[in-house]
Amino acid sequence: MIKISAVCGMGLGSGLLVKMGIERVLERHGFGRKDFRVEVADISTARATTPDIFVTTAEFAKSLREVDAEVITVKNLFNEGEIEEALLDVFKRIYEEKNK
Amino acid sequence: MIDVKELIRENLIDVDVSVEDWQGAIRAAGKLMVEDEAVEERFVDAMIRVAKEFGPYIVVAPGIALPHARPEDGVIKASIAIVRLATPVEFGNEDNDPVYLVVALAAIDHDQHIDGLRQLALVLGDDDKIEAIKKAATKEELLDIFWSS
Repeated sequence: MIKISAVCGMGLGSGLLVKMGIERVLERHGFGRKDFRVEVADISTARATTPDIFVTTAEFAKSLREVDAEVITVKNLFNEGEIEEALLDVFKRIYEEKNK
Repeated sequence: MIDVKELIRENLIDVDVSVEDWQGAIRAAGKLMVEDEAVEERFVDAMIRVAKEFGPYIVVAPGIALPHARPEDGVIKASIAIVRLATPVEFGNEDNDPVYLVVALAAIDHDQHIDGLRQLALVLGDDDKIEAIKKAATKEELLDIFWSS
């Protein structure tokens, strides 16, 4: 199980968009509910979520430095292609490490 | 769950709105919401406060801003207001400025608007629909693009 945190300001808007994009991308590549879970987190509580991967925008990535997780940034939250490009290789690497 | 048609209602959309700056852009969308009795007036100020607090991250895609505030900031009815600007304005987002489309979100909790947001994301993630949004001649045409998702 890989934990992914979609981080935004309040956990209402952009974080949800990121979560939807991540789920569509990973499901399209054959990963399912037992492989990953995406949570939406607001920036004030994001650090406490201890995921394997944070996905967020450049603004919030600045305040997620020094976390013990991969931090992936996206510019266009509606663009699944961009999420796929940024996330998939990192996800697969962690997936393989965990399933050795 | 709330369908996109119940979130983006007929009174919550407008085209070719002239604004001075990013605050004016957010206020233009907020005005539609206040007039529709979807939010209290303080919600509009809250959206601007949030944008200042967190920075221009609300520009979530090239040219598209998604201002919002918390449910407790005066949301009466879950709503999305859409304003296409006459002239794009800068929000201070290096990657995605200037903004031509404001999509303001008033959520009543963390869940109810998810389906509507999902439908919205399908429209705003589709290059052909983005072109149609830029070209729509009237607010009715613009509304059709969002409702047809």
